[in-house]
Parts: sequence; structure tokens; C-alpha cells
Amino acid sequence: MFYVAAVDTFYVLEMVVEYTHESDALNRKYLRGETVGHVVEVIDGFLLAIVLLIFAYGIYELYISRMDDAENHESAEHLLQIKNLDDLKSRLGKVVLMILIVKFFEISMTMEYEGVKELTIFAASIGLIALSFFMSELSARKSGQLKTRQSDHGKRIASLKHPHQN
Amino acid sequence: MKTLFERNIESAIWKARWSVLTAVFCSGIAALAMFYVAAVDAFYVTTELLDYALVTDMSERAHVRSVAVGNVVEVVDGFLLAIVLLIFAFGLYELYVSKIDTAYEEESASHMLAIDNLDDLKSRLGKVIMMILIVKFFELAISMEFEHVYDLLMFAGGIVLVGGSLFLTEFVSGGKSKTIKSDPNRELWTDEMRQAKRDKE
Repeated sequence: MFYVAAVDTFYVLEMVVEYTHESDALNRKYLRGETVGHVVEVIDGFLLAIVLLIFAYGIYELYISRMDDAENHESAEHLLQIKNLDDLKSRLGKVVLMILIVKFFEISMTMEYEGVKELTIFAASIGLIALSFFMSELSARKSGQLKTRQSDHGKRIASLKHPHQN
Repeated sequence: MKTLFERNIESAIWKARWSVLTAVFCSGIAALAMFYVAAVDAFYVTTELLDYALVTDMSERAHVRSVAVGNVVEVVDGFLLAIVLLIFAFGLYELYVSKIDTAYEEESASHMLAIDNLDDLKSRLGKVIMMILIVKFFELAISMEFEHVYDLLMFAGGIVLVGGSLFLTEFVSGGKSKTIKSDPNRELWTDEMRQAKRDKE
């Protein structure tokens, strides 16, 4: 997935290079919409790749053995955040949700809208997407798995202050 | 007791996290591309607006004006997307590869490094998608013709729906947003700690 997303980035770049020469406003608008869609797709690809990586680490740690190298590293908390099987499942669910939303986004960017009625329907679907975001966020917060970079930073400073403890 | 084989495999797996680096570079590149696109847009908007004073016809001026407003909003939107890509790149590096030491001594660190965890990455992407969709709605709405009162009511309904979705996305980030004044990182790096770091090196 890292490879796929990297290739995508390369093509986006190639597309953007011609952007200045496009003097026709309508053409430019089309090209712009396409670029934005591809960029969002690229980020989505990277997210999927990272989740796969976390997945791999999680399976190794859960079912094979602990990794010694990883234990003392500062990014361990983020890469080894799978605690049990349910965690694996919910990660996968969230990624699938994200990919679906990106898909919706892409379709809606290339669609043509005519009339006020379609505009209202478009607004309603935006509202629905926002609602699904809200619900997935709510479930993430309820499970209390919010590990923050801030707490990492605190630990790091503590270890700088007292280097003998490590 | 671990065998040599197991140890080698583990260190190989753990080193695989450096593949995140491709993601960091690529989203950096994509950020540059978006900056470029938005800059070109800004250039075209200004060149098109140069002869705005020469348009004497009232309705034509209204048309030019609405197009220009739409374009300006689009430019701002493009820059927002670029900045989010940049934040994304920094966040990936910080979370999965290692910490950027020089960044912590800058004041803007807590805004550029605003990513705290994987869910944060995802919700940031989601918020950007929402913002782009809303801008799209705005653009469509501004160039639309209304004929009946009924149309107007529908339009108002659409605005309320978009407002509701903005509210929901805002609610998600509730209380988490950092302001310039409540910069927690500013306090974290004192001179003493910098000295400690230098000693360690």
C-alpha cells in the first residue's frame, strides 16, 4: 500500500505540473477537482498502509512473542497499540469506514448538480457523512484509547532530566 | 531465552516501520503540489479581477463578483488542504518514526505537530473532506438561479443541513483545539531541559 500511494503521488505531481498552462477557467476547475480528489486518495492509501503495519505488529505481539527492540522505543506506544482481538477488529472497521467516506467524496466531486432540489439532497448527504464521523469518533473516545503525543513528550523530558534511571 | 533467529526476525520487523518514511515524503510532496495549485489559482483570480472596475453593466458585475468570491474561497480551501497535508507528514514522522528534536524548540511546534494519535490523523482527514464538500456546496449555491419561493425554502433547508454537519464536526473536536495562548509546549522546554539535552549529547 505504501508503494501504491507513492505511485499515486507521483502521478498527481505530473498532473499538477501542467496546471499553469491551463488558461481556460472551466478546464482548470475540472483539473483542480481531480487533483484534490487524488490527493485525498493518497492520504487515504497511507492511512490504510499504516493500519496494516499496526495490524502486523499487533498480530506478532499478541500471538507470537514480544518484541524486545520495540519496547523501549518512543514510538512503540503508537505502533503497538493493539491490546486484544476486538481491537484488531475495530481498527479494521474504522479504516473501512474511512475508505467509504473517501469514496463518497470522490463521487460527489465529479458529479454534476442541477436544480435546487439536488443541492438540498447534496447538503443532506453531507449531513449524513458528518453524522457517521461523529459516531465513529464517539466510539473511539468512549473506549478511552486516546494516547497523546503530549504524554510522550512528558515522559521524554523526564528521561532527559533523569538519565540514570534508564 | 530467545534464539538468535527470533531476535533477528524481530529486529527486521521493527525496522520495517521506516517504510512510513515514504508516506512522510509523499504527503510532503502532495502538500507542495497543493500549495502550487492554490498559488496559481490566486494568480488567476487577481488577473481576472483587474478589469472589474470597467464592467459597467450591473447584472454582469454581479455575475463576475459571485464567480470571484467562489474562486477566492476555493483558493483558501486549497491552502487549507496543503497545510493539513503538511501536518499529516509531520504527524506520521513523529508518531511512527522518531521525534523531531529541533521542532520542539520552536513556538509553532504545537500547531504544526498537532497530531496526537492515529484517530487524530483520521479525524483530520475527515474534517478536511467535510470542509471541501461544504466549499463545493457553497460554490454550487452561489452560481444557482432561484425562481420560486419553494426553491428558496429548499435552499434554506440545505444551508441548515450544512450548518448541522459543521456543528457535528466541530463537536467532535470539542475542547481539543489548541489556541495560541494555551500553548502547553511552550512551558515544557525550559532552559534546564535544553541544557540536559546538550549534556546528554
